[in-house]
Amino acid sequence: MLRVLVIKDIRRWWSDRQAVIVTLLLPLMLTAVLGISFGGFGGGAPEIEAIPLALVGDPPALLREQLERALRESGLFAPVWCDSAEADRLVRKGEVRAAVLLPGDLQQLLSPERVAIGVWKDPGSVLQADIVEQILRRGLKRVQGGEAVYLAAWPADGFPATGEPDPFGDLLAGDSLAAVWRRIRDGSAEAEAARQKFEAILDHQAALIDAFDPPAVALTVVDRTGQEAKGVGPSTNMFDYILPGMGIFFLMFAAAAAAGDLHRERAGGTLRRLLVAPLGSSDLLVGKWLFAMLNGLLQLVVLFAAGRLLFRMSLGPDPLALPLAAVATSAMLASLFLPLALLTSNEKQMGSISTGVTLFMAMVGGNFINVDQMPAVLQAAGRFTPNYWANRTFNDIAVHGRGVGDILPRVAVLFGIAAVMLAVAVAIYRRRGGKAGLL
Amino acid sequence: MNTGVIQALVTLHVRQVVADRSNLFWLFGMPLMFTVLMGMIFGDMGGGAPEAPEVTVYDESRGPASGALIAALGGHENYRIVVADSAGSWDLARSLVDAGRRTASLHIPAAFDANLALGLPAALSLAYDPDRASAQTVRTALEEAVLRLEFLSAGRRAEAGFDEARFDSIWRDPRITLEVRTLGRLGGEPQPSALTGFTSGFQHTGPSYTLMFVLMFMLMSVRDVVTQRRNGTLRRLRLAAASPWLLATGLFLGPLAVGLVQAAVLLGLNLLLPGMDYGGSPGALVLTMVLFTAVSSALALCVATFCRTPGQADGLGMTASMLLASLGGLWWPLEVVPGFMQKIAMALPTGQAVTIFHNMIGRGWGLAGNAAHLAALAGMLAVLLVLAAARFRRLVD
Repeated sequence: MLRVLVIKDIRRWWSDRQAVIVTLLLPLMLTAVLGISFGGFGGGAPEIEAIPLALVGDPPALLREQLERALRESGLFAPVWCDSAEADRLVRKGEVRAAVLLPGDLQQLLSPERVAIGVWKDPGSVLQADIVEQILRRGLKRVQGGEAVYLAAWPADGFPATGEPDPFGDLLAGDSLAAVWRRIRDGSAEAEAARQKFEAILDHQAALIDAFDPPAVALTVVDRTGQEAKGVGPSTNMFDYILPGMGIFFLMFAAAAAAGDLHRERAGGTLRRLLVAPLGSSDLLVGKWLFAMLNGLLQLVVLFAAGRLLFRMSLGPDPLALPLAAVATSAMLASLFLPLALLTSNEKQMGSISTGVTLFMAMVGGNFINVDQMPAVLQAAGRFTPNYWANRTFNDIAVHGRGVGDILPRVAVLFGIAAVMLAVAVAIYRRRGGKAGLL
Repeated sequence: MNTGVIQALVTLHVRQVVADRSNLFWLFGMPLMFTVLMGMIFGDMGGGAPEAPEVTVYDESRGPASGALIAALGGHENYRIVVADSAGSWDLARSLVDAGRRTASLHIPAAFDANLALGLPAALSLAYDPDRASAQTVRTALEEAVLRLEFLSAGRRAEAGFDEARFDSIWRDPRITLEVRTLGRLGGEPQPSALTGFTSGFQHTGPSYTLMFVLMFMLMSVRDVVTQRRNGTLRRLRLAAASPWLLATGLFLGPLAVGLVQAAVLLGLNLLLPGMDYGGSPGALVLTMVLFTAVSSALALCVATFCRTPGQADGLGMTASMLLASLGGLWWPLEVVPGFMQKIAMALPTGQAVTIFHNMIGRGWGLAGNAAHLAALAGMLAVLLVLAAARFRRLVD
């Protein structure tokens, strides 16, 4: 009898093919949008768009070209030179994400004076302007460190304070280039002092360069897969995260719709006819549950197959792990909304509540954003949502490459939730008078 | 024109919405819940972290250099350093990250301090989860601490009289610095009361989820139009001498009225959230919401003409609202997606509307600054109205 009930539900579901196609396509479409937004088509490392950047300053032409070329070739920036008024306009208009204001006189960088490099950030940018700032800070840290180590090692090489001997200043003092040249050619005391200081500086710089080799610290950074991390940023194919999350999210809608079919059958009169058939006490509910589970399995199969073909999603190393997780998830979600279907009075009410519950659970349970990146309070709340356990199970398989043995505890939780919710549905059904209560 | 029919249809829609109490949850409760929860999540990602995942340090060296390194990593709000009581192996450190139990684990081998003192390379190993923001922060902090050690060590090797105190002093207070400023939206120097850029996750999620739920509620009501068509209500109205134009106008204005009330309440309640305001142009705010709500209503009417069953209406309505929200930048700021995705977003009403909100909040732009985006919304409205009217006429005639 159960088989007949399930076949009947499948036929009813298949009769509205357009809705079926939408149900199967929507998760794929949304996965594509999310994946392309954050991981690039076909998976792999996220593609970063070059950040439009304004450069303000008046360095010599050669330095200007080299700086611009280096920034452009890094692939991180799309620089444009302009004056400060234009930079202000571009930043405020959002045409560049930030402006970097170099000192008006680059000689300042080689003087004892304190120098500030300015950064103007786009007020409408929530991310890229911060990236510009962080990269500049990291680069500047090396310059600052270099100056600190040099001056701590050879303080006499530092910029002379007022009143102290200044070999280069003394050599270059004068009102003409010819006077400077005569001092150098004649081997004057000023030229000798400058030569000695110049040699000392070169010796010190050579010594410092040598001192960096070998590096004092051999830092090894490995990511979760045990591979040495090359760059900074996520290493996982984003689709491994996104696709199961979206799949479970839309499976919740499908499960709610399957449970809500009770209301549609009641409104259409088929439920009344069904109830006069010789059904067991809970056959109707179990039939709905079986149909919802098969429907969910089909959705997951289509989704993972497409995810593998289109987005190179990982299906995990263990061929049994993914099917087991899919069955457990489908069983759990199929039972999740059955009690609600029995407690609501019509399809609209059921739809409204189930959609609200689905959206809330998806948000807190990690279907939209990885639970690990949520605030602690939401992480704790997430554990009380059934979809959290499904998300974790699929993450274990696709992201962490775990097998059946590793996922068994979570699969047990999923089957446990399925059993409890099905039992609750049967209890509600019986408490409300069985078949008569459905009408 | 028989405005009575339009009035009746609008009143009918409003009454239908109000009669079902669960609609109140959809109109106001759900959007607010999303705004607050997603605002918390965005705020965390932006740096103000209530979450502080553990980073375990296995210090087998237990010397001054390793102690200084651990101290340099501490005091960050995105993670908390826990030095393990017992010395652990590199395999243990890695296994914790592999199992997802730690965001990162640092292993300092026993020879670390001794090697540094002898001028030999000192090994250091970090296992981290690159998909976690907190792990990225740990890595950055560790690399800066290692950089300092590199400089310090090079100074010691290069010159016997290396002055560590002077090094530390210059390292902490460098001569060349970075002066960062976010250009305030009031122009010129930032004002004390002005928002400087986006200072709160709610500044994105508040407007975004208002737009999303206005759109979603409209598209969810597509089912009502399909049901009215299937049960013959529209045909009966048509027979009662209501022209297709009147019917279409009534079905367009009803959801528009509800949507405007929904938007006004949500935008008002959003103001209670930390850091929220909408800039200094009420005119731009009102016009944006009127145009966006009208576009949503016209779109819903269009979608309704393509659906034959309530099931199709639900599916298509949900598909359209989810795709428009995600592609249009309502789920995340558009600047994080590739350039071609940003261009797609600008072809959608959601992308235009959320850009106007970002411009109002971040840049303080009003009607003039947002004129192009407002014109784009008006253009979309015109196209959708023409399409909806044409489709609807074919449907009821």
